[in-house]
Amino acid sequence: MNLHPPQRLARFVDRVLPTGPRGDVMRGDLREEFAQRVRRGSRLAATAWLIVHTISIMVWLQIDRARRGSNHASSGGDRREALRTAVRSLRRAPGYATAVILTLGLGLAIVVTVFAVERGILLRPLPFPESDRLVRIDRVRADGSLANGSVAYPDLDDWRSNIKALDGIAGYSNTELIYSVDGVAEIWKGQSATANFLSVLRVQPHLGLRPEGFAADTAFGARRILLGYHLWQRRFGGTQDVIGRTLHLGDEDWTVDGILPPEFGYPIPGIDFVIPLPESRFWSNRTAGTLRTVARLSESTSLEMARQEVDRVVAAIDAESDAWHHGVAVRGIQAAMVEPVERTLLVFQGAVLLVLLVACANVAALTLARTRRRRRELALRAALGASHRRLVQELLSEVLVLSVVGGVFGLGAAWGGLQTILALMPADMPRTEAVSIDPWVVAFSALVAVGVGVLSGAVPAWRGSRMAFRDAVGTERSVVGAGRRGQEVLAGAQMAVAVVLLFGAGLLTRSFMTLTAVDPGFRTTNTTVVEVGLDSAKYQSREAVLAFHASLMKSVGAMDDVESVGLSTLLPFSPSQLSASVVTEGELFQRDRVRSVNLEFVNGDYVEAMGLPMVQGVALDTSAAPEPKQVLVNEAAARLLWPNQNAMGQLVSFDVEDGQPAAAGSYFRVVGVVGDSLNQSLDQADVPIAYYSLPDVSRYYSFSSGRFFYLAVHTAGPPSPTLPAGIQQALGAIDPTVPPRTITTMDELVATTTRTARFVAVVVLVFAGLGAGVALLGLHGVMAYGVSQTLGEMALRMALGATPGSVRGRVLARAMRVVVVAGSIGAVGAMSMATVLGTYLFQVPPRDPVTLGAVLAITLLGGLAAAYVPAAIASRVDPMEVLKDR
Amino acid sequence: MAYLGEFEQLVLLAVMRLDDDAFGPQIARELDKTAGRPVTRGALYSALNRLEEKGFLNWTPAAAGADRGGHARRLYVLQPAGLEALRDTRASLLALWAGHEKTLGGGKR
Repeated sequence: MNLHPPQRLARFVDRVLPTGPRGDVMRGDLREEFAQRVRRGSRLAATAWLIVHTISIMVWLQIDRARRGSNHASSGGDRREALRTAVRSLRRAPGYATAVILTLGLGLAIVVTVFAVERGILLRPLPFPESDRLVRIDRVRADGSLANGSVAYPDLDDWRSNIKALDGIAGYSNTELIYSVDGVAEIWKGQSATANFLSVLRVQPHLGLRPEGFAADTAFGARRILLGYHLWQRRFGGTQDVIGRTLHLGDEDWTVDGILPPEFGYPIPGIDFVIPLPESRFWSNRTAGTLRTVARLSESTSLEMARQEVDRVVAAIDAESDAWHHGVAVRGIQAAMVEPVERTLLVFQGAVLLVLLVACANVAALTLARTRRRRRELALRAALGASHRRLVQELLSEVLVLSVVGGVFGLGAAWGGLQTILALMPADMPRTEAVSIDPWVVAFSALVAVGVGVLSGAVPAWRGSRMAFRDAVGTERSVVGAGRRGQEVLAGAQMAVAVVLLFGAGLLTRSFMTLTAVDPGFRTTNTTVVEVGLDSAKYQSREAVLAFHASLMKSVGAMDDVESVGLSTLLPFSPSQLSASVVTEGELFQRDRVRSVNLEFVNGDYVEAMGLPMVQGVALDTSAAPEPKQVLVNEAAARLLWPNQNAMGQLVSFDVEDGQPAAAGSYFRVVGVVGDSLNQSLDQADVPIAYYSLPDVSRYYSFSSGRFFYLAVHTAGPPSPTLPAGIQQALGAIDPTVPPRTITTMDELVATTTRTARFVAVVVLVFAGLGAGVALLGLHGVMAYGVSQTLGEMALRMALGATPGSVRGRVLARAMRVVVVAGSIGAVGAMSMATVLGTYLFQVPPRDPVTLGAVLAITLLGGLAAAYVPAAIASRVDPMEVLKDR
Repeated sequence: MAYLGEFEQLVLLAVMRLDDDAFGPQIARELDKTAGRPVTRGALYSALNRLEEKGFLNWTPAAAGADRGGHARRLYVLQPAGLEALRDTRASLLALWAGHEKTLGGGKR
């Protein structure tokens, strides 16, 4: 029976245990116990035991040393001495030190930036007590997707009384209130919520009533309001006497109950108010859900337990109703909030880790070169009695000192990087307000700095010290090529990683460019759009709404440069779209063969103002009430409803009843066909749309009141900077209580839809650029160093008749070998990692050969450029000069 | 009165119980078997070293067996100061335990 530990392990144990009699006893004890364990059981278990206990001894030796303090033991002093030596030696090599600090600093800066963003968005808890116990319940649609804000009040009420795993479930919904003072109106954005909203979140008002004093659930429509802290500061100067005051909002009086705390920003940052749920017939209707939910897990309930109970209770309740049959999903609110960005951040994380890898390899190569330059000095030190350990410690200390300095520099740069990345972030990124450089981020960067220092310094230090001993003993003559190959491998590794990074960035950039080049199907230039909402209490009748439309279009149409004005209830890219089932002339409606189109109700010259191309026929005349009624369809709708026929003159109706044709008077006649436009986002296929005249259709149907609309204003040239103010004035002149929600241009609107794609592409491109730059500098350094080491050889060659061209060729060929091998490995890596980006790519295959070709060409050219200067130097060697010095 | 940590106490007691068999591996086994405390060798050597520095333990070289690969062996011996420290600790623990035997189960397992 072999009672000895495996040889390599035995050597490891011997090396790590202390020298001297104490260590000797430990070695003996460990061996003895190892042998006993082998006899008693398996060799494998004994080996594992030996590893664990050897490591425990190493750890405890460190603990004891730390306990004794640095004044006692010799090793602490050793390390300080090594540190001093390191700093002294670095002072003599400012070029090397600067290069390492910059490379590591840059690498650390982007790692820390991305970590800070991740920490803010993903890791930092929401500002509520025990926020990790807050969950939300969402309805699940037939296709498995989640319906946001679709919980019906009666369901919520039943869930509350039947689910024990949840300590209160609150419902809430987005609400706006209009505040006007001195003829200027502004829109407040807040939530109407059930009475337990704040108590579920465990939020105490900053001032005023306790949450339990807030209007009770049953008092729907109570005119009591809690104001947001920032609104209170901005509008009311933070005065206490606002509590209990009456505010005139919209057309009603509201009593101020209290002030929300400053950090409260749920579900939207900078929320303006919380009010009780309004009066609505919906609250007794199970089929019309409009609420979002937040609930708190009861004591000692896990998310999984809650899920099971919720599923059971909801299934029982749903069995009684016929509204929903696909259950609900229970998720932590933070998880739900950050879900859409998690993938983006993961992509960034991958990219920065690759850049950091490049930086580490670069520093390792630089350090290896420096160590080789210092071999004489190191060999001398070894010969004079410095231990292997001491030399490793010293060499490692040098890199560690630099990486810590680089870390400080990187932290500063990360601060700048963070500002940049926050400025670039799309507005719909959640929780950006929580992103900052906090103590955790600082601690993280310290950890990474040290880790990176060890990672990039360990191998060169180890090799350097071994080299020193070999040189000192003189057992082996140094071969120039040996260390150089190591450096070339490191340079190649950097290039390979850079190829992966560039490929990813190239794909994202191409995808973004394809996306922006998409023709949306309407004119985007010189079109200003204004979002307007009329108060339903004030504008109750159809006539009042249409009168408002007419005066607004008239006064805006009279402005300078305005060519056409129109309005629509929906705008391309607006978040909500209205669709309805339709039937054509004589068609019998069948529930299992539904054809639905998106509906837009327009007024004025909307088609012209938006620049929708007329393919056939004429635009709607919204000022007349023709018989039969008129409709305009886009080409997608024409294809859907009348495949292979001319749509002009055809009839279509909303009047659908199972198995029945539409009533005779319910048809609309197609008077024109417009070109397709992308309606929801640039990457979505053409949606069938029917455009109806709002004044006409509102006579018969209540699909849309026209109280909420978008005004489209087309100007002769770029809209003048005074146009928004002019529109605002026109609105104010008609009704001072109607503020425009937003005034923007179609160009901007289209740009916002590509913002996420642009953001991801720009950030990854910057990372890839940095990585590639560092890699090319690394290659340049290695080639330059190689040339400086082989000047003698080159001189000899030239003395023997080699031409400068052939010498240059030799150096370039050497560099190209590195680039080609690295490029191939990088290409394989890029191909295997390509699918990660799949969901970000628009009409670009994840293994796009064009992008790969471009990246490889760039890499090759970059490699040539990086190697050219060293090659030129080599070819200009004067053999006489060099050989004289030898 | 000398201060004894809980683990130091256990190690001293184990050395005392083992008498002339108090070698490293045996002490570890005793702690595991009698006190139900598996210990890492790192913690054990650290404690032995500390107790030696405090003057509670001493050691003498002992004959090494074949399994040790020629490495030395130490027999640990409890010193009078160590015995004193154990006595002090026991007295104060007993004083604190007095009157709570019922709650604590009389100290028997």
